[in-house]
Amino acid sequence: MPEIPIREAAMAAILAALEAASLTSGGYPVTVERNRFDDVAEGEMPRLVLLDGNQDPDGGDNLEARQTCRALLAGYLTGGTVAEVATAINRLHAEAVRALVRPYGAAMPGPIALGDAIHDIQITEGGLRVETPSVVESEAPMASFLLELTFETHSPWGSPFITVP
Amino acid sequence: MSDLLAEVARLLADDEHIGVDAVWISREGGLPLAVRVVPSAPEGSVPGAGPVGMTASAVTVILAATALPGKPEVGDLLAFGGASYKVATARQDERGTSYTLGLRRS
Repeated sequence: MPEIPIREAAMAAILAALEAASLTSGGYPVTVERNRFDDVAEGEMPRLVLLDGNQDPDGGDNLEARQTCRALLAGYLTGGTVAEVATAINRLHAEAVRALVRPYGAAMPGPIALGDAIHDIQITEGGLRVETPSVVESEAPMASFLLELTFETHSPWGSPFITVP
Repeated sequence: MSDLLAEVARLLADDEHIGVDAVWISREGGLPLAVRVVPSAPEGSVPGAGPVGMTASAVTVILAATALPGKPEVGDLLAFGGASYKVATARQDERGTSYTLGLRRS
């Protein structure tokens, strides 16, 4: 059975939860991808880009180490008017939060399973930033947002892996 | 000097390889006016909210100051090349011979 770093398992599970939500914006399906660092062009929007973030130790006990991990979720949208884009940004942000905090259509906040039937993560919504290019930069109304996500991982000391079937 | 520059602006707009036909409508309405403009659409990277930016193009046109009966205003409409735009910025050059208009797709 393969071992996967728990950080990798967590990020893959977050991506899978976003994909499972089949988000749309303005009637178009929202493409979701991970760890992209090239600029997003208008023709590639609407799009969500999930970026691996940093982590910090958060104590633990004799059995396991705990880490507070961060991920960044960036959203990119275009639309007919600046007002439409602003509204669409708010909707996509809200739907992404729901897809991650209440994953797979859960009625209440719940964890995202990591695939080994043991570990899971609970996503906490962090700060949100929005950036809208000025008209001297873009003739097409477009905007992006950046949402910080945090979650905690638990793994054996010195072996931050999970084993998946 | 200003007359010469105004003539150059008009010649550039009239050149079939540089200028294009456009239709102007005041934000206050009225009849459409046929004009010639020199368009430009530089594409570049603009910052995003996070580490991944966006590729965007800013459409501007140069319009001879004599092309319109008055000054172009923010909110006026301009159509050319099969697309319609709303004037978002209007800046007159120092000598008053032409305007550079920043356009937002409408």
